[in-house]
Amino acid sequence: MDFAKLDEEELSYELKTRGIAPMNNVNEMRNVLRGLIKIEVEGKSLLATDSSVSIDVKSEVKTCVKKLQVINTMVKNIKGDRYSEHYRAVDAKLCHLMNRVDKLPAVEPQDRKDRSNLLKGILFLMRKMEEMAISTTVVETNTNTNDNTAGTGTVILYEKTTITDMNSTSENSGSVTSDEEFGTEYFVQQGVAIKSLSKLLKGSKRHKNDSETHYTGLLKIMKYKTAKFIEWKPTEMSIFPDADEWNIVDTDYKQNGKNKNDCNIDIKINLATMKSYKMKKHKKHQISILQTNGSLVTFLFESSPINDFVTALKTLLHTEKEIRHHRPTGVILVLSERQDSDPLCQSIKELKIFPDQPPTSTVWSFISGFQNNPVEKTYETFAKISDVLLTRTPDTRPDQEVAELLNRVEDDDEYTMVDHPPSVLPPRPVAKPRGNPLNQATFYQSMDNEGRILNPDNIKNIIFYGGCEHLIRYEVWKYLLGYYPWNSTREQRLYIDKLQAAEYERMKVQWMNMSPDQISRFNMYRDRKSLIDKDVYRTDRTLDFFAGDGNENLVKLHNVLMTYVMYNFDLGYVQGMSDLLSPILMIMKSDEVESFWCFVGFMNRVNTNFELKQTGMKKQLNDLHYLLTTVSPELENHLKKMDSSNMYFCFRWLLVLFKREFVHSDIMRLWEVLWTDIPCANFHLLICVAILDNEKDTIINENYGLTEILKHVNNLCERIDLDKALTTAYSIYEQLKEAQPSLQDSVNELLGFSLSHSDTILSSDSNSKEDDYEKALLMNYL
Amino acid sequence: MATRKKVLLKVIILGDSSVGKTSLMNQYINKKFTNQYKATIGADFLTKEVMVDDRIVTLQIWDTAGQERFQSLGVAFYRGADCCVLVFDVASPGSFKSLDGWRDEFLIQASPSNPDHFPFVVLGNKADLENRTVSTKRAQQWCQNKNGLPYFETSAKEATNVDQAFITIARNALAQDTDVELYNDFPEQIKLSGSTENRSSGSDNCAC
Ligand SMILES: Nc1nc2c(ncn2[C@@H]2O[C@H](COP(=O)(O)OP(=O)(O)OP(=O)(O)O)[C@@H](O)[C@H]2O)c(=O)[nH]1
Ligand SMILES: [Mg+2]
Repeated sequence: MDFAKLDEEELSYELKTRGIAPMNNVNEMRNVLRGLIKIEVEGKSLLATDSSVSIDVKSEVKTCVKKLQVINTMVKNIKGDRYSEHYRAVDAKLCHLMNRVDKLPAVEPQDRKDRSNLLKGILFLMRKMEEMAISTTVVETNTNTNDNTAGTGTVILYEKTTITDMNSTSENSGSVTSDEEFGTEYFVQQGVAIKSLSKLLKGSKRHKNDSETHYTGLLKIMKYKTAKFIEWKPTEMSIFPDADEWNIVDTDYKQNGKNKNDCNIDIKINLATMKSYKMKKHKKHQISILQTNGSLVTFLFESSPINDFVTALKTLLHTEKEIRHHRPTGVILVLSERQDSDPLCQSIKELKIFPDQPPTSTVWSFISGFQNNPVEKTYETFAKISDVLLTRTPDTRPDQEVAELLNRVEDDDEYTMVDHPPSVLPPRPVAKPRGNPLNQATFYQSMDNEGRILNPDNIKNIIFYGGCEHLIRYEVWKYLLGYYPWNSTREQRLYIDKLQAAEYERMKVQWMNMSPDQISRFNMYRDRKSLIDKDVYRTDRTLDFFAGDGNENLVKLHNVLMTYVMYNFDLGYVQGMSDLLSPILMIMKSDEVESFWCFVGFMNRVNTNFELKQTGMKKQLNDLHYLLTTVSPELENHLKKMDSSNMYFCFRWLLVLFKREFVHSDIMRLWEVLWTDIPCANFHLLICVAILDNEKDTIINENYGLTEILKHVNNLCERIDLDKALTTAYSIYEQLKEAQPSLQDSVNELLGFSLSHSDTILSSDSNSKEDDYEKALLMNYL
Repeated sequence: MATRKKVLLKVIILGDSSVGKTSLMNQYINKKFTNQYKATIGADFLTKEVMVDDRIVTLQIWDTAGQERFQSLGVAFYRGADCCVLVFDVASPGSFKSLDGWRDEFLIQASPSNPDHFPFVVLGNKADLENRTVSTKRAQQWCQNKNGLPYFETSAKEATNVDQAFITIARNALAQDTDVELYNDFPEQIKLSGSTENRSSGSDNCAC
């Protein structure tokens, strides 16, 4: 059991049942348990169950049900391979729970029923866990695999005669039997196909639409006196259209000059000679087994039995994932065969107690739970739960009672089991540290003689990675907010200043000249004005810039907002706008004209946030939910369970672009990054995802509900690490970009990934927009 | 029901923007007033343990934004309220007129099982101001017409009547709680569309 994956309560339990008082420190508990388990594994001591620990059945059942539900949620979110942290956490938690349920002192009929249902639930989850892992395990095939299979090309065929000592027994292998002489069946599966590609000769081309011949047959794992074998025997032959491009040498029957329909071929693989195996899903599930002599056999399965087969293999073999460049390659290396005395092997034998119940999926899945935890799962456990095994649950769906158990929740929750299409994302790249801010020298050097910025993309890039030195924000923000076109000359900018100052004055005069009498009949105007009057006094008053009564800057704030009402009367003034203006007014050194036009630029980006119908906000919350589902399905699942998938708790973040979440110095750094539109216009949504992802563990582990989530998120205010949020958001972007072909269209669209040449299209698009805008602007002036 | 031990009481404060909802909540819970509070965006709540007639209860006080267009967000949090506080600014007749709308909106969104007897408490805030324009009498009249709702004139700024008002709020919430099973009464969220219309037509009915 991976103790690192257990929480404090679980660790204490494990210790208590071993007669050891739990310590305060989680790590210490883990260490002690690791030591204990080692002793147990080495057989130096038997399970030291402390029976004196008194357990209150009712509350213990409750705890277990809760844990089962948590694991259920976790299982649903398994993605990637069996070696992922997540999978191992599920595995560890299930082992723990199994142990725990097993120890339930169930005497009363109701308790017994509860225990039995819990066990069923565990079995169901074990099975589901295997399924989730395999159905999402994508193992790429590449030529490396060939290198790996030292001695590729040697195609080894096991015919009956090739294994002399088994010669007589294999004939009878079809019947279920425990006779030592005839071998013991560990696994039986009908309808497993074997791949037979035309022999791959070096340099010869295989045509893409070559048909493939698949022989379907009976696959077994057999134990004989001296060795265990994977055996396969053809029962029929079928032709598949080209199944895939799996280009590894396969067993080829023709080479032996035998007729295709010849059914006298058996394949036998001694487990002792297995070197590694690798699973892959491509239309059908398949497993390729490589032997020490270099031969490779590929079996094709319908989805679920492959889990059982792999589980069976794992119970018989010590395995390890192959790691290259710190990443699992998907190849499972076989280290050694397990000894017959290994409890796992024992447990398989134990199954033979029910001769009329040949091992089926459920049983095998059950065993799979044991793989990391051999000692605790002795056959005692098995014997105790045999009643459960005998009343086996349907293969993939939980039966009524299990479903109820999984869904049994506290009074007012409406928790539904909704399955999510699991999305497989590549691992998230390590976040790159932020760069240096754009400095004065670089900025002015980037201009030509006439003051045009020669390479705006370069400047934007620097800002994206490192922000901007405070000193030059006064200049740079005017470009970022579209007041100055990037390619404007010094002369043109002077002209813009003059022109826009006049334009501002013109609009300002409009509201300043409104007489009280006129206002008395102008309701809409009055409403807007009164909102501004109220909000100006509630905007950033803690900052020196706006502090104190009669502060001139409050008047400026008021004037700019009032003028904006005249500029865009339909939108008018909506709460939140004063928050957006305040940092701009500060950077623009209280200059109303510059502040106004920069504010207009900012509003152009976000005005849909303030629409009466709130469509812009709803869309963004929705989009955010989409992204979160893709990036952090576990969290999304939890939110859904807690009635929070409307993402309302992010409303404030989005409405004013995090203005309320960061201190003043940070908000400037954040906004200038967003204004670059690098890497995409919705980068702020990825920042939300990054922040939430960082809180994911707390939210899920503490099992926060609707109100706690809101409170937790509100309390993050001024406690978010901006640099971390930015760098994480970018690495999430890169992660999604890598996964782009498999992402939903809506997600691709949100992130500006287009299916071809996303980069060029993205940049040329924004360039042309900018050009148009600049043209329009300059034409007005000249 | 008497055996049910629920000690968490959910209170929603509603009223136009800037009437002083956030200030009242903070005055009651943190015992302080500052003009540095920002306009509320989204929703938040604070909790406080109080004694109500020998029972310790936890008040969970929800503060939402007053601006109308943000109300669609606020309603998400109305669910399961035990008491609703309607606040207006005694110096702002408009905010007084809006009370009808707020009340209707709440009843529609929270759909309590017994709307006629759902506990509302009305607060006329900023009573410290000289230039008040809504008379006590007018406010009392309105409350009378609504089945005699409790009415308090408060000042978040000077902490006048704030504790008294909240004790009544807690007591009424508790009374409500003992005969209503939470959540079970709110099977479905009522769709939001048209809610703003409801609000404005509601204020037309206002007697003022
Ligand atoms: N004189 C006086 N001013 C008050 C009182 N209560 C609040 N204010 C002021 O009224 C303004 C609005 O107060 P808030 O508490 O922010 O109002 P709100 O109802 O929460 O407003 P929204 O969050 O926009 O819905 C602030 O400037 C407060 O300082 C009061 O009792 N007396
Ligand atoms: Mg407020």
